Amino acid sequence: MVQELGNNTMTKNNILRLVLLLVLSSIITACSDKDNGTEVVNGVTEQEKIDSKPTSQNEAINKSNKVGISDLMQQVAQAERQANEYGFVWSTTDDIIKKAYVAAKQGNENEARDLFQEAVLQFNLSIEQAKYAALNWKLLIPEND
Amino acid sequence: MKRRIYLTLALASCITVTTSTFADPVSDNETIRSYFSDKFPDIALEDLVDGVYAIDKDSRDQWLQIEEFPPYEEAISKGEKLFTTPFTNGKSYAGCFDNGGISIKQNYPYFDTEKSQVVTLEQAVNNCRIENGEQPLPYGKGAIAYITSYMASTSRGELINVTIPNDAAKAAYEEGKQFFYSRRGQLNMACATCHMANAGKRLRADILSPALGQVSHFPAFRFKWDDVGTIQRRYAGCNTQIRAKPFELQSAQYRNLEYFHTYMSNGLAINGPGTRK
Repeated sequence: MVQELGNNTMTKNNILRLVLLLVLSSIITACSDKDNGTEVVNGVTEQEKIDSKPTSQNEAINKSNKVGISDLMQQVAQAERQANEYGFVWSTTDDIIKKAYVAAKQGNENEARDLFQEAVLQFNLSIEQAKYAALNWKLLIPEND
Repeated sequence: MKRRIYLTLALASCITVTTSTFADPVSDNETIRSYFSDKFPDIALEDLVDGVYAIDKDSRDQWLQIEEFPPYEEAISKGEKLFTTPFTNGKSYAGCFDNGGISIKQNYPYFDTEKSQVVTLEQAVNNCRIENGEQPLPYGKGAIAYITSYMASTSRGELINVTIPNDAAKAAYEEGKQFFYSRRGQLNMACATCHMANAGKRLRADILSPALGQVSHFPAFRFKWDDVGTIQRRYAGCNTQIRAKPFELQSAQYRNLEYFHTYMSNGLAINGPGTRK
């Protein structure tokens, strides 16, 4: 009897928790959504917000985006320093960085952003490759029968 | 008594693990030779100095025809002229090397125990220039490749004899070995991927040469280069092909790699300069 009561209370608690979770998740989904990197807040994308604002405010937002690019440039430089220490840098990364700088100079910020991020990714992958090689390079040594 | 037996067994297993993990250079060579003997049972190991031309008959036939008028001959002539022309101070390259620089290629690279680093023949040529007040030559191709082509030609038939004189040399050898077997670049390939595991197989239209014997014919005239180039120029090219950023020519990485790579071919005959695709 006591066990039955206890089971009922647990079931009620579980249902309550589930309802609370559902409500919370629907609130979160309604307030914010991410689609292909474009943040949607209250149904309005970041770009739409920029377009609807007066020019002076647009300039301010553009400035903040530029700070984002310069942050990425710093990230690239830092990743490059680290990757160089491991000595496994890929030959493809330099070209990506060059293209990113050209895109940034031409004002193609989204393209520049993607390219800088790709460069950071490649540097990080080369570091992972170096770490893997340090542990597993002997796997390619033929075994003497 | 039992404890003693356990201790002895534990010690023995530790020694076994250590020796198998850190194989010495001599047993490395035995392993490599045994590997290629199994891979190419019909080819004598000493013939591997001819690279793919020892493996593929059609390629060999073409190569033998090319060898009738070898494209590297001009490089040897230019190299001889450069080698024998005195420096501004009146001295010459011959004064910097044992035996006047003739028939010494088989001993390079060597480990300089004073400087505690690997010295390649190209580096020794430039050291000679610097000691005599001349500007060092750019590495990889051009005059340095001509001079070493000439020097290699005087060593033809001599057996490669690279030594490992001390622990520092062994460490350099091990670094070269690690480089050789480490996967790198966007294609995630090691030197060993092509030149050990896949040696003799086709990569598009080309046949991959075995690592054993590769150093014997460098500097080599490559049709792709339309000139002679050094082994380290080839390393940089290989690294680029697997989309790894190449190291500077004569960097510690490439010198140690050359040390390991050449030691591997100890006992094989120098036949450089050679001709390759």
